[in-house]
Amino acid sequence: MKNRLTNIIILFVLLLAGGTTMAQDSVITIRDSRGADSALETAPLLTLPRRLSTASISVVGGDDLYKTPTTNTANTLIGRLPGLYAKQSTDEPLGVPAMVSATNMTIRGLGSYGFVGNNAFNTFRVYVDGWESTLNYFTTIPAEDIESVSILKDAAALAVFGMKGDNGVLWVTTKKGHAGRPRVQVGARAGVQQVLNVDKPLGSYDYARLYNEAVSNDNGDTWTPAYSTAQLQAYKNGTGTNVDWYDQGLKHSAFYNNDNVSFSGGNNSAKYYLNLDYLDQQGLFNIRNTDSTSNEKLQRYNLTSNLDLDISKIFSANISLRGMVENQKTPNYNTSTLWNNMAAYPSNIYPVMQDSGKWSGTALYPNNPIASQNALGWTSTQYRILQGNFTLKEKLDVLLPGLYASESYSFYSYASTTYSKTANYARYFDSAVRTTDQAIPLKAQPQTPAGQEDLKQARLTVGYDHSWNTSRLSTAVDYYGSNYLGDGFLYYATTYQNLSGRINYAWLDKYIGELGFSYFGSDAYAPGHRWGFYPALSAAWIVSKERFLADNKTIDLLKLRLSAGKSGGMNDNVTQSGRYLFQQYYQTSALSGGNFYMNNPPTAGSILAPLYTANPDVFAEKSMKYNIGVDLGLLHKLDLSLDAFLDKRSSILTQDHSIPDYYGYNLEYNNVGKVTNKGFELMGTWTDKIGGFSYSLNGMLSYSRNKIDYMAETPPPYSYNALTGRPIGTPIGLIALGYYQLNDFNADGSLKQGEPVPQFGAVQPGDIKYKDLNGDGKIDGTDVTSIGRSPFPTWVYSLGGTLGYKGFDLSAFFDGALGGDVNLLSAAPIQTESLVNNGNAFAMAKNAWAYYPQEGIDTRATATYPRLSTTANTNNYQYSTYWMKSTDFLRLHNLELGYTTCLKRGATSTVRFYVNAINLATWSTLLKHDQLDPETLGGYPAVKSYNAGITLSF
Amino acid sequence: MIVMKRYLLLILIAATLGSCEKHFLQVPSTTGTTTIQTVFSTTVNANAAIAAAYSNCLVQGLPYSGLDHGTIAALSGELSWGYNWHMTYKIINTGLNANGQSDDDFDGNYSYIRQAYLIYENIGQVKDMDAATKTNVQGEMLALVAYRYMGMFIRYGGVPIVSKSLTSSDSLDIPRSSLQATLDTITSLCDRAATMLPDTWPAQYSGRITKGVVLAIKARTLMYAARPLFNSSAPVLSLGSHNNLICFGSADQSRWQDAINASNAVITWAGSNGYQLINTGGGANTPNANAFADYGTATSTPGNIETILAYKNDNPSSGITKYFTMSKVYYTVGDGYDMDNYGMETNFLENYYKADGTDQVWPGVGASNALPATDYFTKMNEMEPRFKADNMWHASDALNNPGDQGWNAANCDRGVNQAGSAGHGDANSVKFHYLSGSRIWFEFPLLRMAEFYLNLAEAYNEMGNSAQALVNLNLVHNRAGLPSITETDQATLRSIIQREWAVEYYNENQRYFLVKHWKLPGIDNGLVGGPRREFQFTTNGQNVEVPANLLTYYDQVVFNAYWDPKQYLEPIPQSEINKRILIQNPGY
Repeated sequence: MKNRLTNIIILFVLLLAGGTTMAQDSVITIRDSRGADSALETAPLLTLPRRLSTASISVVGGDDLYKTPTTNTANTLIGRLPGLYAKQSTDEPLGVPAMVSATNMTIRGLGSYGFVGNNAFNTFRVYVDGWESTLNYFTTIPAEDIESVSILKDAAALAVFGMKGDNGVLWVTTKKGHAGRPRVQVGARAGVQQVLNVDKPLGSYDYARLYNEAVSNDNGDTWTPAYSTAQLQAYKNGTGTNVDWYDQGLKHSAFYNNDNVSFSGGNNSAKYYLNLDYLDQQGLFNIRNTDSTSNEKLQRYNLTSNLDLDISKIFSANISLRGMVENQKTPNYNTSTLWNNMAAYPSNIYPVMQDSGKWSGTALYPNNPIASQNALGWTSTQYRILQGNFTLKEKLDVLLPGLYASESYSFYSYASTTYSKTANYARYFDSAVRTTDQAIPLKAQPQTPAGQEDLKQARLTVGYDHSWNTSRLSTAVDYYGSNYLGDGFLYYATTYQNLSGRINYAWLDKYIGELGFSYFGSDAYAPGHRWGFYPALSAAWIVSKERFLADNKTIDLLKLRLSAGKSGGMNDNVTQSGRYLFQQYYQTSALSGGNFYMNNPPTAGSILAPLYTANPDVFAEKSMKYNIGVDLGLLHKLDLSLDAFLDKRSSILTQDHSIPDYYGYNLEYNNVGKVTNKGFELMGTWTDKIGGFSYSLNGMLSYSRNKIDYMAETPPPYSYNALTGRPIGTPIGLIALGYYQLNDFNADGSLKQGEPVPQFGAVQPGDIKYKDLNGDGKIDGTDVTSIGRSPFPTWVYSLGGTLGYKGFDLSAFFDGALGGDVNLLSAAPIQTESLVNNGNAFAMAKNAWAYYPQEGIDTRATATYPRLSTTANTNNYQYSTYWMKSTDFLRLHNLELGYTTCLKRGATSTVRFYVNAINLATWSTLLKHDQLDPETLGGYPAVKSYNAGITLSF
Repeated sequence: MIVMKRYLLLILIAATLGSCEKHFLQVPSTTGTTTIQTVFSTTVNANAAIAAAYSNCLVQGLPYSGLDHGTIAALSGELSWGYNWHMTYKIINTGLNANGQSDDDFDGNYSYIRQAYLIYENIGQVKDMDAATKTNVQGEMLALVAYRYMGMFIRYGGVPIVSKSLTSSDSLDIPRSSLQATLDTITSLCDRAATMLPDTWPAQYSGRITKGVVLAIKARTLMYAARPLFNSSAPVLSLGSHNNLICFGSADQSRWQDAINASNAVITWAGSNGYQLINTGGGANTPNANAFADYGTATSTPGNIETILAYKNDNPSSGITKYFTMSKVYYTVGDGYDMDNYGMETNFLENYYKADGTDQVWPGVGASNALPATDYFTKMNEMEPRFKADNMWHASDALNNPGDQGWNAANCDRGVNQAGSAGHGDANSVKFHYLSGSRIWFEFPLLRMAEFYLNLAEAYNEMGNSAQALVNLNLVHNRAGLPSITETDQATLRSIIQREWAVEYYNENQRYFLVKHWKLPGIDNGLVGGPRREFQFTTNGQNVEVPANLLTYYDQVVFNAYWDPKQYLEPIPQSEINKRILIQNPGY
């Protein structure tokens, strides 16, 4: 750590010494939503100027992404793309495969509930440089390697993707070389990361005080404290045991560092781009890195090369290769369990150590969080990715001017191995060993493979571009094949093929029409059902080019876009039943388990029972997408873009619960589900200059709302119980009416006549009271209904501004979401269910319902939490409106101050110094009232970080 | 050259596309998966599927097949109620309901019927199996289907009839068939299967379904058709215009004759195929001197000649083993304590005879009726051989595994009721473990020869033929080491026969259904519902597994079990009723 800092300081000093300050307009990058004439559409097959695009596509440049220092490139997309919801998640230095779970994104909200792994997130497809890739891979691409990231949203943009298009596409373009003198760019940045918004448990005094209430409540509301006044006093004055596990187990701040050096340049016959990137993130745990212990940490090396060659008049080629090596290390204890333990272990259970060298631990709390960090050894995982793309292109103008063809091949290979050194320790309490664990000294475990993937793709394209008179035609047809090999039960190998094409025709450069299509075949379906045809029609009208607007001083661009088309959704998630559903599989299991002996004397025989009921007609989900868009440019200062969409899903693969049980066996999956999703996106940019100041403001707003039209739900007893007709993910539960009060009960403790009786066990004053929706005098599973909004927000927004003056630039970027609710019982059970089953106490429970007048305790009128209990109080911890909270928030995501100057007067060499802060401030009612971050409620948190860096170009 | 390249490209594209369907998009070879094609390609794989069908179809009524924890014997007042998380405890306290409180697995019935039909329909594809065996297998599958329908017939009345593995293109609107149609389906499945099944299997397949099994399924089904719950003009609770789903609509004596014919067919078949009531120490009207061993063998020994069909499952971690095995030495999985609250109820104990064929006198209810504990040991010792083979009483070793320390009091007794507690009952069940020693797995007898003699006794008595009734009853009664019964009054003899059923089939999943189908008076008063009694002990505070530490004992009502007339029949799950095709049984 010291060495790294020294290196960076030396680099800074050298650059400062060599540089000569000069005034220059500050560099402000503003994305152009409608696209300058030179900007190209970021979509497959055709190379079109963006003004001729009929599609709905949002784009962000790599330089904007670079502003968020992170090991997970997907985290840089938050708030940057209208139509993309990216939920900030843990910033744990996890390895590659965990990245997907750490970033949760959807394009245009949710269009389908079918086979959505990972809580419905990340069901879109990722393409890097035109090749299908994985979100895993994308997250490891250094931001400085990225030219742009787009999301393809409407039927026009998704036409060629066939069965891969229904949930949108993340389209990533990486940097290439440009003709010109060689350029070198050096980037170095470093920072510190801190825990963002963790809900710390209460200290020993409050814990014990609340525990006394809980125990007394459990003893029939009779004051029977478990902790004496003397004990409480000791906790209060600091003589009793009071361990803050977060304080002990976490560092104040963790180090982050990212450096890169890139070379680019070339001439007309050869262009190159080379980049070496190094990244280092240390975890938040307070663990020293020694032979026997290790903090959680990640080190990643990326080496990129991109080479364009013009071989002859006809042939040109592109080769791009990327290699990634990553080492990830953690203490030898599941880190999410470790975070849970830090939250769940009360402060007063034991000191960290009994005597020197003797870790505390009891049968009830066996895994002392500090010992888990320091006394179990460490494990490490090594990840390697190699991606190679090769394209050979022929210009066939000799045959027909404008005709070309290309042949390409791509491979992706991923492998990982683990290596660990493990130990164990004896758990002591009151000088006795409390568990069966024994001290085992550090021992090396053999290196073992931990997964591999292999993806090979090939394509063949024939295209034709031609302009004549007032017309311009761009067209291409593409054949694409993909072959995947991985691990897994039904996912060992998969293949698909796609014959796709686009025909774009522009007349007078004003009227544009496009036809896109895909004829897509997947191995997931039965022979005869493997192919689907997906056409899309779209048009655009550049109104501002019409005579009546051509000379208008206010309106410099008005473009209307319209598209309609069909997409498909191939269900190839790695779930037991996501693929090959047409096959009747058998597996080794049966109801009674084990073996059934048919013979005598008995000897074991194996058992094969059907896995699920095969459906020979199974096919891809269908999506009909409609989009209308307006692009508007005013005064050469304001750019606005508005898109409204409708997405009608049908044939969603659904486990058919409407089929009667007598159909037999696991309910089959049928293409029966229907969902309607609609919404809009608005984005705007204002750019202007006042005197020496240049400034820009930008904002985006995305709205989407879906409704399940049909999902073959088991018909519920009452219509208000149903999920059908509600948005995907709508929480279903009971309606809380407040707390039972003393006068709700008879003298013998039973509920008074007329009070509906909860069927979750006996209730007492202070318990949550629910509404008896069907009026049958019982509170049970038939009284459930919608208790809040789906966890997927309906509104996603961001706001940003940049101010530049004489080489200085200051920018701020806010993001937020509205319209989602979280169920605390499932999202943060430890923090919510205080004291239950030997759990901990949190601030939320501080003002629990309690009535012990002799002890001076009476919160009957003011309680903000139901009565406490040390047992699983089933009644209170039912899913209900009581535990639903809004996750609306606004965050100051990024604040950056920079200074750019030339190294030598008049030269093109520049240096930029900057400092920035990430997640500096959050506004949220959940955070304010319940101390919970609206995006990361439990487990390893997101981070707040402060960074400094320089970028040197020459 | 370039032109050639252009053509080459086109040819390449065409060739690739042409071959896609055939090769490129083929389902890739995947590891660890078996498809229906591979299952039905070889006898070895097909046998594994057949074993699975047996395992699933025949598990009905056993623990974890709907009932979850516990055995049906707890519901029928034979045993106590289990722990409060057990399904038996819940049903005893709040009754059956359509939201999961049931002893059956309604959708499981059809899952396993489907499983059997899949084999029936696909067995023909197996390459290395001869045609005769394939026919046998098809017969087995029809028999398994019939077995499962029989279980549903007894529990629900008329049910939807599925006669093949349905596909989504089939009409899925299948209402409940009438009681008569359901009965006809079962008997015709049995008749069809009988023509396809062998009388015996080669030694390595012994235990598989024979012709005798389908005769037995038919006989049992016809007995339930003849018993008064169904064989009457009106059901207990009316379903209005749908009464034909749960009642035949008339009381018809000929149903008893059908049952007699079917039971005789089983006995005839058994006689020529080596199955018989095991009786090695007696003759006509003579008490069997070896009753203890013979009854123990018949109920416990795998592959014995009295058992036509058994549940042949060996899995120490399954609930089936757990809920029938007392020995904590041999049952080592760790949660054998789940058996703590399954002691025998006094309500049921009173069915047993003393060894001399007379009734035992047990202490009355209440502490005031307490007798010295020595009286308990004396009276237990006076009981009939079947009692001694089935039970180990408190603070005593199991007699059915003499000298085996794994089956002594210290290792099997689950303790006694003291100070008003419930659950430990009057004795512990060690049935199915006669001379099993360290073998904790056992074969639950599903169809045993004694049943068909008791069928005849019951049916002949109902037909007014007490002579034939007594002949058949005494075959079972004498085999148990008891002197002949001579009663000829129809009503008295009926209750004697019913008592014989209770004792002979203790803990064999028969009584719960019999008492309901007999519509026994008092079903709400100590049979299924109502007060349940267990012995209470006073002790000297020392180890209760030592006889000398027990001081006195008396009988006591320990809980009241729920009963509602709706429980004559089982509820169909509410989620199924909500699909608006099936009609719920009355009262749910």
